[in-house]
Amino acid sequence: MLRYTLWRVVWVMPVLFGVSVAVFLMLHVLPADPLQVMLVQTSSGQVPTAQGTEQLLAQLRSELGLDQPLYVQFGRFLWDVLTGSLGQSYRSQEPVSRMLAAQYPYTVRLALSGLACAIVLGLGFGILAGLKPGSWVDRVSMLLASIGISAPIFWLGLMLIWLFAVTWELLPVLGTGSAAALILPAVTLGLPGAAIIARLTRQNLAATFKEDFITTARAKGLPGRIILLKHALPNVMLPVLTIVGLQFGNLMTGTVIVETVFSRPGIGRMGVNAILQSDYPVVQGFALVIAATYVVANLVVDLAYTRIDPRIRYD
Amino acid sequence: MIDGQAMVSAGPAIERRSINAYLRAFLTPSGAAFLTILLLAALGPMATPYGEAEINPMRALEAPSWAYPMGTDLFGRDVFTRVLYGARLSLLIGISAALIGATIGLAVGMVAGLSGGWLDRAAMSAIDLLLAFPGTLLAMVIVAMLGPSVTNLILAVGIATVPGYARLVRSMALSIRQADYVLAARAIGVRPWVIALRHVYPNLRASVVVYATLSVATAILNAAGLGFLGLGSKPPTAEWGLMVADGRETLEIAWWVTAFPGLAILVTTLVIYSFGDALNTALDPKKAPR
Repeated sequence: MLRYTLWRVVWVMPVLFGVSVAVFLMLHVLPADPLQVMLVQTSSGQVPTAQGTEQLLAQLRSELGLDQPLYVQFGRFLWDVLTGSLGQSYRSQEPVSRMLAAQYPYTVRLALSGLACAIVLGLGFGILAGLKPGSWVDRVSMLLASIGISAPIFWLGLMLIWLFAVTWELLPVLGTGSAAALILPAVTLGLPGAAIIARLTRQNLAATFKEDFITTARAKGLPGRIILLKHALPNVMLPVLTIVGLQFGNLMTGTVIVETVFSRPGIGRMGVNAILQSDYPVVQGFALVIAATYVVANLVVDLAYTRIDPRIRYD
Repeated sequence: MIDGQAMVSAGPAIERRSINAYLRAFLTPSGAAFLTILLLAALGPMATPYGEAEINPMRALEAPSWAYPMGTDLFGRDVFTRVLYGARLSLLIGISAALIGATIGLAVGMVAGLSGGWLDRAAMSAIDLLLAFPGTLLAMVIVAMLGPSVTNLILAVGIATVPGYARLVRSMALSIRQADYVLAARAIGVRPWVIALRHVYPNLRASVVVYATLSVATAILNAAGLGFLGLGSKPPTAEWGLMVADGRETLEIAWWVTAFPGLAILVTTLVIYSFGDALNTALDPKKAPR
């Protein structure tokens, strides 16, 4: 067990290394010169004179180290990653690591609240539906789940805003301070995951109720509540946990959209703006942080397995 | 997945049966709905009296009515017309992206699964690495690389689906290559690429078609998300994600500008997902009538 845990933790390193190589290569084998883009943008759309541009470009290139060969740039990038510095934003000249550190907590809080919504709503509807397969509760829940899987979350978010904030004026839309302002974004983010979890829970619960040990428990005269909690649910939880792990990736990218919809701070919105402005160091940092979060989240889920399912033994 | 009997009679019989299966899938309710959407996307734009970007400031932000079934937007453009044009673009993006993903994924998965050895390990390490990026992030980074445009959006969303296909195809190829008929073909000296095309591919095809159908829906959702973020087509193109983003500014006074394009995405993905399920049932030789 300990060996497996250690091995899994160590294995994260080469994956993260690979991720940084991939991110670096993606953004350095560019067809367009980021500096050209940047120069036109910073001079507010006016194209400077040819001579001045050449001079400025050369100066910027050496300042940013872009005149070095690719492997030197990569070495520098890797060193920067290891020492926790991710370079400077082309636009604001701010260190990328500081920008990320300032925004990351907002994104994590949003992602975790979204995850909580997904689990609570998904399990709730899934259990309700799975208890009585074929009933109207089941049909309505599963219809909602199909809609949740197919609906684009940016639209769901806007529709929730329209319903709860504009029409009924129940909840605030903007602001990050209060807990109430987190409700709509978290629900929006969690809905697709909730739909998938609900489907899976329903399916597994309905199947588990047909198993012999449930019949035995019923025959013993155990109350339904105990059968559900002690006998059926533990068997249902494992596949649900797998999906929760897989959903985390969607959740992280979902934050990008939800942050934009609700105008919330966070690395997602920062990343999108950086992409739109060709601010490559920021894009790199953004992609690295999301991928790293994803990899680590999957690690946590993998390790949680061994805790939850006594049948699994990695040796 | 591997049906022994079907294998013995490989050739014209299996072809005919699978064509019948595709027809059957289109005759289900979801198949009919999918055909309707395809027809609306193809012919709809020609039938409406308004243009894709035809502005009419006198009629800005009008609520849904007989003249404008889905209302008009800030510039007085007919939302219904734009939703129809958007259907064309979205399906084009979704289907092209699925084709790109399927082609590359099939090639990578087959080569990895059939050759084994270092090639397999190298390909799978690369795939695992790509899977460390959530699909949408991968697409975002690719758009960041190439710059925002419809073509790049298709490429980005398509490439983002490659790892999924490659995994599916590889795992199936691995099991098929252990099958007796492949061993027999190899024993009599059939060339590897002939084995791949004549013996392995026909057995993967049904699964890849189903996966591709489902990935059309995923690609449409992903592309709309990127469009919403401004990483896809540019205004005034009628793209569903972009239209929802445009409606955001007038959400408080005109819900229809946002609601209908999003509803179009919802209905389209819902129909394609259930069509994928229908196709899966129809193509499964165990469930098909003989």
